[in-house]
Amino acid sequence: MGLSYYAVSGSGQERKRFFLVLKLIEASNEESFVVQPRSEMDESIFRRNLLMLINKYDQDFAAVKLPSGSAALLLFRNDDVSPLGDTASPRKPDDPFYSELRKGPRTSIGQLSTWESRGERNVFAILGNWVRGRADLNQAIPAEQRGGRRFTICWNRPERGGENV
Amino acid sequence: MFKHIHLWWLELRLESHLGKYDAYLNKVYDEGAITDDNKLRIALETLRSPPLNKGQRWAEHQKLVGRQMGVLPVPKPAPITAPKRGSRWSGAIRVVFRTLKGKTAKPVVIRGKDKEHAKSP
Repeated sequence: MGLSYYAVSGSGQERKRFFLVLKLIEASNEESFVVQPRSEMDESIFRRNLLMLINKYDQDFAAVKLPSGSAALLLFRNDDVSPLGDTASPRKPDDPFYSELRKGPRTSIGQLSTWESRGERNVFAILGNWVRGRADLNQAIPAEQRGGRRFTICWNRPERGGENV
Repeated sequence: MFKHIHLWWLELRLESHLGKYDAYLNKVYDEGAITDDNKLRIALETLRSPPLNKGQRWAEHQKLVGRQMGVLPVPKPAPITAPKRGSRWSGAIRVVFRTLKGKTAKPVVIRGKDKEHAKSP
């Protein structure tokens, strides 16, 4: 296919709110791949190859950045697209969706969610996590178990000016 | 007032489903819905829709953030065509008041005109 790839970890940490008080974390972490063409490749061919890969491995979507467009797109398996953002930057604690590198230096504490850096402090959420068998979310992640650096696709904001990659 | 409370309750319920609150706000933006009736309809439709997968949640979140930042275009709100009406109670009171007024009102005689008519052959 003329594509190269490397493995990353695609993560999501959304908060579900129940009746004003209870906020539960829905953390998800799954193996993902960054795919790029090895040499010159037509955009339509690249997109067709991606769609083929998405359907072959039974995936729901892929985040795509094409040279012709300014924004990154979310490409669904039925060929629908949705705009994601026009830049990539280091993850901030309030960004729910991000990619985590597997190799390289470990992530800094500023990229961790608050519950990861200091453990969950909301009593209702602690109880909720415990009941649902996710008691590990109540504890802070030890420094040696942190993953690689984290990046997120976002819209270009003025306050992120110097940090874009 | 009851519509406000119903809408508030539905929004709370939407927040307990991952991504549905963002989807609801995006639909409100898309339709340019201002009135509570439209928002109620959209909230109910979104609640009844099937759960969103991770990609759809990500797409809805990014679309909403882009709109709030002014990067993505926001459609203009739809004009309100129907005249603004009060509650049922205020309407009923108005009808009773008009009826009473109609019964008690006396016929108006314009004397000046009557005089003119009297002068003319």
